[in-house]
Amino acid sequence: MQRFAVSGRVILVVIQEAYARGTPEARTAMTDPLSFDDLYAAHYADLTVQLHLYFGDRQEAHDVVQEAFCRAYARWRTVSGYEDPVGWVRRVAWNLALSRWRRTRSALSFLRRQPRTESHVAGPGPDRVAVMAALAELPAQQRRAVVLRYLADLTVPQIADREGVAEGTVKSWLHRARTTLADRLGADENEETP
Amino acid sequence: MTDPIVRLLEQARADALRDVRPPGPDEVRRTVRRRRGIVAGIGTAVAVAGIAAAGALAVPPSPGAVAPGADSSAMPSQFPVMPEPDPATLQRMAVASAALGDWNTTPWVMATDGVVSADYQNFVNDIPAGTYDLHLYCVGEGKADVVVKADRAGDDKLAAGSVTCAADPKPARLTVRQPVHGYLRMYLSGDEKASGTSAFSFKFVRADPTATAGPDTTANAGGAAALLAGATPVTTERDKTVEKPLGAGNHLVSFACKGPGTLAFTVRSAGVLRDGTVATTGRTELAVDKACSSAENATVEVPITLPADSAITITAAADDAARDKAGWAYTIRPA
Repeated sequence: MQRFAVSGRVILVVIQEAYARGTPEARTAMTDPLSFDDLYAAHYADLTVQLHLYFGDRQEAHDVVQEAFCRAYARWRTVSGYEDPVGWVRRVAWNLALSRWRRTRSALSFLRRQPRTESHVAGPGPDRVAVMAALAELPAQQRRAVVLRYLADLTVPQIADREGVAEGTVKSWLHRARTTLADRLGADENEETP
Repeated sequence: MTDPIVRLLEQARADALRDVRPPGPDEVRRTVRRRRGIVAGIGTAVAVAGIAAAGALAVPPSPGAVAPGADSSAMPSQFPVMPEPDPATLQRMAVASAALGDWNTTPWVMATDGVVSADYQNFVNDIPAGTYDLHLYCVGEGKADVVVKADRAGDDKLAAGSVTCAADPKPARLTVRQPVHGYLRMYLSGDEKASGTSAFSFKFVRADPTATAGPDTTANAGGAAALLAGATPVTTERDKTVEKPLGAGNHLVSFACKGPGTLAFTVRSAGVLRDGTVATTGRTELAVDKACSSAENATVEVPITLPADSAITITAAADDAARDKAGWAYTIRPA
């Protein structure tokens, strides 16, 4: 267990250790008091990976998630009071990803003119390449449902709510997506209720 | 038993997490301060930054507060996040986006759209090795040059060409061969008419990712090459474009094909872009459909006169009967 001081207060950061271990609790068990830095540290990477696997473009995912955190920070007094601040950031990030912002940002080279900060990375392993290639073959709605269900750990009702469709529709998307992924990835489809 | 699909996704997540390099919360603060400074002006920027710094401190949440829908498009913006195109340009963007077609019909690996600028660039990462058709549309006026380069740095050009903007856009189509899994860079340079007003879209479509030349096309390519002295054989498991940089003068392009079906040949003289790159979409010198089984007029010759620093490209598109069965060959020599 690690302790460190932020703004004169000692904050327990079990969450960051749990996150480093990749446990699901890490994505939901934010400790109080909530600080922007804690929220950022605990969720930036996971949100980026979710959008990365959806877009297939790491830099786009980085840009969108960073922009979502900028918007959260700009209204932090309000956002920090919500029951689910990371849900707010996730929703903004996804909305940005699907919105005109992403296209116009890209089109006008707004961020591209900034010095690129991305450091060299090891690159994807063969399994990730295969998964990303299989995800890329899914229609956008199915791909979004898979990422939100299995990587963002949203429930079917939550996905249905944010997509504005019936729960049965989400289940149908997930079923079809799983069938396609199982075929592409050579996985034995072990059917489970999503 | 662990769900195999979930397990693969979890593994992909763990693998991808290793590549994430967060810019950090301090970068968030700098961005917000900079934007607020734009609004407030230099005179008040320091005060706003102070407020922003105060906002960084942990603020006790209001009990029971519920997050709103967080619809970014509906949120009142406290500062200018991005310059927005005017409505006419947005309309062109919509047309450009629609030109990409239906993903379900022709899946693409990556696609985007936007407003043409003089120096647009897009780093496209995680593109698997293989051959792609790049379709580029431009809606509006003027022209735009496109250059595709390999990797994150360097000047290894994979494809180059130009697209003419129009109300009803016709795509420029380039073949891009990605040598290894990784980055591509898209550079788009609009001329004065196009920049800021015309809209573009492009998509990378996988071109038959797994095809390798079969025995029939390999044999027929060899047979076609035997019809022309010193010819280079080309197989038809997928549509191919060959290109050869040439100097000024008169040149004779010859080609032949053998086997079933028909090949649609297009011979182009390549232009030179403003940055000196040889384009692979130049003026069409000849477009002809050739039945490869016919013994008559087995070879085709095209005389072409070129200025300095030019190139010639030959594209052959196979019909269903010719695909991976027929073969072709070509020579380019001084006339």
